[in-house]
Amino acid sequence: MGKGTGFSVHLRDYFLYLLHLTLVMVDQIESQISTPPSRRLVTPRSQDSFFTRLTPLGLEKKIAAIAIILGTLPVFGVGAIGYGLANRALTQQLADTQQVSSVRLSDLISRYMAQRYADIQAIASSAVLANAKVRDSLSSTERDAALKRIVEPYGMYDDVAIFDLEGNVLSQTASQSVANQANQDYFRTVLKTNKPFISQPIIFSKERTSEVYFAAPIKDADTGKTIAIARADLPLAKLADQIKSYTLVGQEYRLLNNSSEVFLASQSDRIGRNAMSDFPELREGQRDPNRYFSEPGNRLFFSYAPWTKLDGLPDLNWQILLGSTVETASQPRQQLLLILGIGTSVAAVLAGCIAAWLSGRLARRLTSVTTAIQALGQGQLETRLTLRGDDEITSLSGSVNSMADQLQSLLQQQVRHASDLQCFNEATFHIRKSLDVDGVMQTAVREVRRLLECDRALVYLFDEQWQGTIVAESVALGYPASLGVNIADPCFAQQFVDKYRQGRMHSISNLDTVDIDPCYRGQLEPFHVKANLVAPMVVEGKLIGLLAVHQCSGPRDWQSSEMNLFYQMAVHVGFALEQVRLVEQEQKLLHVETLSEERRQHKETFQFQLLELLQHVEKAAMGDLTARAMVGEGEIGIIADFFNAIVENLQHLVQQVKQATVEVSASLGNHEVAVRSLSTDADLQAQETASTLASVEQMITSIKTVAQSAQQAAIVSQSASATAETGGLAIDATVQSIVELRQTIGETAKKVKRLGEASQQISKVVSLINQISVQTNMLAINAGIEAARAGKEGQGFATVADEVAALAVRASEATQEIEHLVLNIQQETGEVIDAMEQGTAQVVEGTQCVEDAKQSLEQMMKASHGINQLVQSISLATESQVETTHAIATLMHEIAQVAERTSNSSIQVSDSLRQTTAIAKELQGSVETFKVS
Amino acid sequence: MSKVLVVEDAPSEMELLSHYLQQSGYLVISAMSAKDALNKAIELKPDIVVTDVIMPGMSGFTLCRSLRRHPETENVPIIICTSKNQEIDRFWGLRQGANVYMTKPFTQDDLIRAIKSVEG
Repeated sequence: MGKGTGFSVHLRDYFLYLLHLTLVMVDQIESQISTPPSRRLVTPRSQDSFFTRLTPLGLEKKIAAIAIILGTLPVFGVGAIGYGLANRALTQQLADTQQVSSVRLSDLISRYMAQRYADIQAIASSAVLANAKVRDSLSSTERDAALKRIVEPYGMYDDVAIFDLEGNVLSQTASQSVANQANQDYFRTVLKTNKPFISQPIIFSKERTSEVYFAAPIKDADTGKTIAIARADLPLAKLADQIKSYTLVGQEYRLLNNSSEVFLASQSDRIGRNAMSDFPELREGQRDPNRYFSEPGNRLFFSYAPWTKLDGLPDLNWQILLGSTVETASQPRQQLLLILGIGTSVAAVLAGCIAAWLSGRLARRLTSVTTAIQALGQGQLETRLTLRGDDEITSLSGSVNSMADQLQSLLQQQVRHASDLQCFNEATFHIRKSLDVDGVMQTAVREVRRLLECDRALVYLFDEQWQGTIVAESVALGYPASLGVNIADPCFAQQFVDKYRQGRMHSISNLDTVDIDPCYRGQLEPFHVKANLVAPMVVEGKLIGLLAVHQCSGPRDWQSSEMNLFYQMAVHVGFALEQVRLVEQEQKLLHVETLSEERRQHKETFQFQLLELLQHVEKAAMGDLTARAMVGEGEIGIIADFFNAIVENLQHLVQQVKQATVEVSASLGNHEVAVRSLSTDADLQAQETASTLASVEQMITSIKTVAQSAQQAAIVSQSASATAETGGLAIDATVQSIVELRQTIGETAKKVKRLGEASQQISKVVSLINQISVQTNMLAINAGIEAARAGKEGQGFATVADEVAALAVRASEATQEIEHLVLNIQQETGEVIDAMEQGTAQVVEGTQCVEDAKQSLEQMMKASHGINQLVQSISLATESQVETTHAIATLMHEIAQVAERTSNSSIQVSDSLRQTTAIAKELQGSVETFKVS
Repeated sequence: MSKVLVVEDAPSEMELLSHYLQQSGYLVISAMSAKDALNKAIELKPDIVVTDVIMPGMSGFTLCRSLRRHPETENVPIIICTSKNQEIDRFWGLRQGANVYMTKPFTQDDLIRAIKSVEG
């Protein structure tokens, strides 16, 4: 992809990004003016995905970044591909080299073994051994020395020994003697084939070494027959020295025998291991010289080479593994990587710098547009761009400017609309917040009146006959209230119901000019209505009422937005009412359900507990009073315990009854005896009563005698009484005459007293006369004195005065004489009165004597009466005594009968007691059925 | 030092009650069943009896009645301490001769206050 194409695509993306920003901005503005979410524009998803990742970066940086990426990526790509190719070639080369090395190593080993094979043949055919003459001429010691001399030039064998055909040592170079070899494989092979032989390596695992036997038949020089066998013992360490000088530093090898055991290795600890287990890839059939494999746990990779066959050398079927360390192999690769890395980086930096410089120039203009749109997006709607030049960016700037203009005007409209909506939303929110019908309607009229700024808002609900009542009202101050008014409009049902149900609104702008039904006008006028709006409240197709607003201050032209708003309000109120009704119904239902569920559960629990209780109680019903109900958690617990309390008491009671029955049985026995003795006693009593009855009859006879004597005494006392009565009458006559005498004397005395009183009046008159005479005398004296003063003229008057005085003195003297006479009369009458009183006293005395005599007589009479009465009462008493004794006798009879009956009864009682005992026993038996302990 | 006879079948509750009472200086006699409690009450003459209601065998209510019926224990104050918390349970408990009816759960203060209220 070329750089130019990259940028054009990028520019397209950028414009999409600008569109995206614009949409975001419009979205933001819309969200500010509360447009419902459904009307928001949605940014296309496909453009989103690319930009969302880059959005956090600035435009300039983004273009630079993309340019750098576009510049550097191909460079890095080429570098990587180059490295990959070179790496593959290098690896191939390295592997080939190693393969060649391993094949050459195999060749080397084969050649070495071939030389040793030649050695043993040479030794076997030396004259000393093969020529019988020479051999026989030498002693054993000389033979050994000769052998040493033969062997010495070879130098690398541990031991060279000659065995006879039975396997015994004839001669050897090593000091340590060797055992009989007749049973050894190599020995037998040589003996059989008469040919030289190389044994498989003998591995000493402990010492980590190995050796190979070279054996050859020694043939007699003359006869050509095998006479002995020579064996050379080659320690493979010698071979290792050879290999070491061949292999490079860092290379390792493994030599495997025909059974794949390692018998020689650069690391001696590998000797004796089975290569098959170390190299799982090294299986039969997979031994491909071109394969490489690594040893587990070792940073080496190995190549494989089979045994190199040579003419004249037996095929030992050895295998060679040659390995190199990974470090050795990868060293050239690292160098290659370093060179390519540095070259690519330098190229990338250069490309990046150029791309950044080019993109910066383009980005700056776009950034200014972006900044402006972002500012618009953040609400700074007064932002404008300056227009320069004539390209796409300039026309974009122009579009941005005109868009900003449009947004400003739109925003203003939206703000207005939004504030209306806000009010509407608040109103509906308040309405919906109310939880009961009245609350909804009350909030509705209040909110509607506030929203439309009118004078009255009301809710009018219909009944079944389409007659309605105003149930909620909000009215401005100063206008009449219509709340509770009942409106019966006869024509409403026919004319308006269907129209309102279909959502018709009714409006009057000016009541004075509009032509309406006079009946309707008559309903509106009392409430000062000048203009009104009416909207239906329809719930589920049913017209439930009307929402109305009135303007009373004057006519009003309703705006369509207002009417729309009002209509919406009516719909909302209808819904709110329905919702409240539904919620109430639901709550009621829910409540009922919960209640019945609770009751059911409670009932179940109760029944379960009851069942449990019944199980416990059952035993008690069977008579086991030791049974107790379990007191549990539930309400039944108390009933269980109540039962326990009853059973406890019952147990107690039954215990007492048991005891009582025993005691009753015992005491009933005793009682029977007592009742028997009672019967005997009753018999005895009857006999005694009979004897008493006889005595009573005797007593009756003597009482009768007493009665007769008393009657005679009564007759005597009656005659004495009659005599005393006659004496009494005579005395009464005497008393009468004395009383008369006394009266006569009393009257005489009264007359004498009256005479005394008359004389006393005379005395009073006399003393009056005397006083007059004294005064007269005094007057005479006074007159004399006056006359003396008068002198001579008074002489005559003095004389008269003197004569008056003298007359006064004489009158006074006469009165004194009368006084004296009267006094005498009074004295004499007093004496007569005294004499009369004495006579009266004597008469009184006489009367008293007679009275005493009369009283004595009366006492006598009373005494004789008392005697009479006594005698009569004695007589009566004796009579009653007789009756009483008769009654006693009767009683006695009755007593005797009673005693007899008592005797009979006690026998009956005794029988009853016997029956009672039986009953008590029976009761005891019954009580026994109760278990109490 | 007052002797309190605690009757409770649940070992954990018994542990708690004993701990509360011993901490407040009471000597605790414990009985794991009402029957055991009745014997101990007659034998050891505790000053106060604190009992649970729901126990296997004899219930706490029966224990109350038995204590009240026996001349040795007819006047010992009884505190019922139970999880039966209905008004009818309280009414019945007090009618069976308990002096105080406490419902679980209760605090140490509740228990000690109840004991002090009946402790002569």
